[in-house]
Amino acid sequence: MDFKENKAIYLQIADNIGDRILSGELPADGKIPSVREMAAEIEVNPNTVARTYEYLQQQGVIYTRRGLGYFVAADAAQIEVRERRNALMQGELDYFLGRLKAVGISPGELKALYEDYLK
Amino acid sequence: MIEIKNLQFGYSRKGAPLFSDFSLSLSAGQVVGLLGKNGAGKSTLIYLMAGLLTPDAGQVTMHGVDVRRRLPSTLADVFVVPEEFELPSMSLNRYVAVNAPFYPRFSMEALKSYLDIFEMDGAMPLKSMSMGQRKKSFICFALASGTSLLLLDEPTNGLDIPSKSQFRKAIAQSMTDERTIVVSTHQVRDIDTLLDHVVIVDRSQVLLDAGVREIGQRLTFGSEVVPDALYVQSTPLGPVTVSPNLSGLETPIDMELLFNAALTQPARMKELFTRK
Amino acid sequence: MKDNVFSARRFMNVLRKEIAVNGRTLLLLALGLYMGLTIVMTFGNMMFSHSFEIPVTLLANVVVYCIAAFVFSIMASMAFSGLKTRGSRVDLLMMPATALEKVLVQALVYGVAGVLVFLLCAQLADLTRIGLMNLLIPTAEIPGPINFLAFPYNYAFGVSNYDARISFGTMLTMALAASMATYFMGAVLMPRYTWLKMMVVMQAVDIVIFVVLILCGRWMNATWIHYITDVNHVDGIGWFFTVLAIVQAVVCAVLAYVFFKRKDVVTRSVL
Repeated sequence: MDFKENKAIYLQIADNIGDRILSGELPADGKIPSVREMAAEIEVNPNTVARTYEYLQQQGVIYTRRGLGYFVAADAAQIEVRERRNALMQGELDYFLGRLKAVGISPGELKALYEDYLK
Repeated sequence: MIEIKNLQFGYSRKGAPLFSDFSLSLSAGQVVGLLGKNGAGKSTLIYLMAGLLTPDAGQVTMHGVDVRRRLPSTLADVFVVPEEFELPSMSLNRYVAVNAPFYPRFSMEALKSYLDIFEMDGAMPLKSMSMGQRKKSFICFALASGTSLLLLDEPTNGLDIPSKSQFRKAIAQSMTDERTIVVSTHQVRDIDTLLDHVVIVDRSQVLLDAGVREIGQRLTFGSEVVPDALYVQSTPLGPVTVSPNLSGLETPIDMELLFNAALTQPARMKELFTRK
Repeated sequence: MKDNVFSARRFMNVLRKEIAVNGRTLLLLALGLYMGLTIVMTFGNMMFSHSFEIPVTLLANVVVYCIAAFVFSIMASMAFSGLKTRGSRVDLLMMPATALEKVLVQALVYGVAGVLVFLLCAQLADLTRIGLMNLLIPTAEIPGPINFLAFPYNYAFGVSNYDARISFGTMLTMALAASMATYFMGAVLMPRYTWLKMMVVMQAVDIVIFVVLILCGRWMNATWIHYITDVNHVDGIGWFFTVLAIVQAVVCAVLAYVFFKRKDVVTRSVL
């Protein structure tokens, strides 16, 4: 992993896991690597990964089964989508809309562009 | 776990000592980065922590025991990988057979997994290995020895880029709550993602002694040039800065920037970390 | 792990490591020693084959003693090879064993074992000499094999003992032990010196000690100095030197241990 974004590393790792959940690579109720395994895989301090797992657990994206490790929650994908939606709405969206207004793109134009994109 | 109390040490009796009233405390379960310019005394500090040098004054203790006493119980719980080391003319397997009995917590299973990570062949004679391979073999043994304290002096020196990646994997895998790994280096970028704790020394002063989380909370690393930035560095992609963290948002630590900031603005750095 | 000063298990581990690391060199040295002694003895036999008997036996003894003294001192100075370079010093000092165990292993391998190996090589060389002589010059006088393995006993306890007169052999054996202990201590103090430099330094130290003791005795006008310098009491000198040798051996051995305990990975300006 390349930690080039300006977010705290433990959050970048959380994003990466979220990506893998949404893509289906990590299925619901499937096991995810242990803290140590993940740390070795991405070459990061285990305490940082522990912090990521704690964060994801808090969100309800993953859960633990004593003695067995960490697992993807059944509704993890939905939670991820919801969290990303909120983050987008509260963060980038404002900035993006501001840029659109600055170059004079009308709501109609925006709708057409988005519909085009979705095809 | 490791306590350095009021340490005084100098190589020559006359002239200023290298360390004067130097104190430092390291806890278990951490990967500690010991950063400093060349000649700042990083290797000396490593030797002092291992009991390989006698302090002029003060004490270095591990689990409350003075390391200079070199008690077998202490020696079996510390492993040093110096910058220059010698390995005898034998295969790695034979080296392990001869040396493992000294370390009660040595694990053959762990050794095998590290050899796998480094893609090393235990049957190969040590003398016919390249410098990098010899270093990796020694590091494999060091990690498998199961000691509570592991002191690595410039471990990534002489390792090619794929080997540095293997090194990071091995360190990440070897960490436990009882283990402390101290890595002294001037090539910070090789290990920055592995560190829990950062100690920056310069001219016998501790410029910074803080956990990675605390650093992320007190400092911001970014590309915005703010008026009270501690340090600004120009890069081809624009300036990069270290400034006090006013937003509370954590940013990834750029160890090199942190290092330069600590060296150029020691007073401000100290002030920022003693507040609250 | 207990921190007792001596543990048999740890001692064996240290010994095993020393042999594993330096075994090959020691074997080669033993081989070289054997070949060297064979050559010397065969030549000696060839040159003196027409007039053996007492002079030859005495000559053999003297030659062997000189070679032994030389070889044993070199062996003793080979101890603590781990102190020579910084990398190996870290390895030696960080080895999980006590200083006593490490020093004893060195004394065992480069002192006791060295002596035994020498005697063995000498014995084999002597037998080889007989074999070679029979092969090359069967007509020459070939003295029977010398019992080298009995040398220590003969030397140390002499043939005519149990009276006040101390045997020459005992004196020489103690002198040998003293010399070895001194070189052993030298190996700890000056690990990077070659044996030649060390020999010069150690002999100088020996001479200084000797002269100082004699002068002290003279100055104190002690009765013992008159006793030993009186020609009529030849045995007095013998005892004096023997005791001196034993004291030197013990002191040097103890100092070797003390200096080793104080060793750091980097030697600083003052001891």
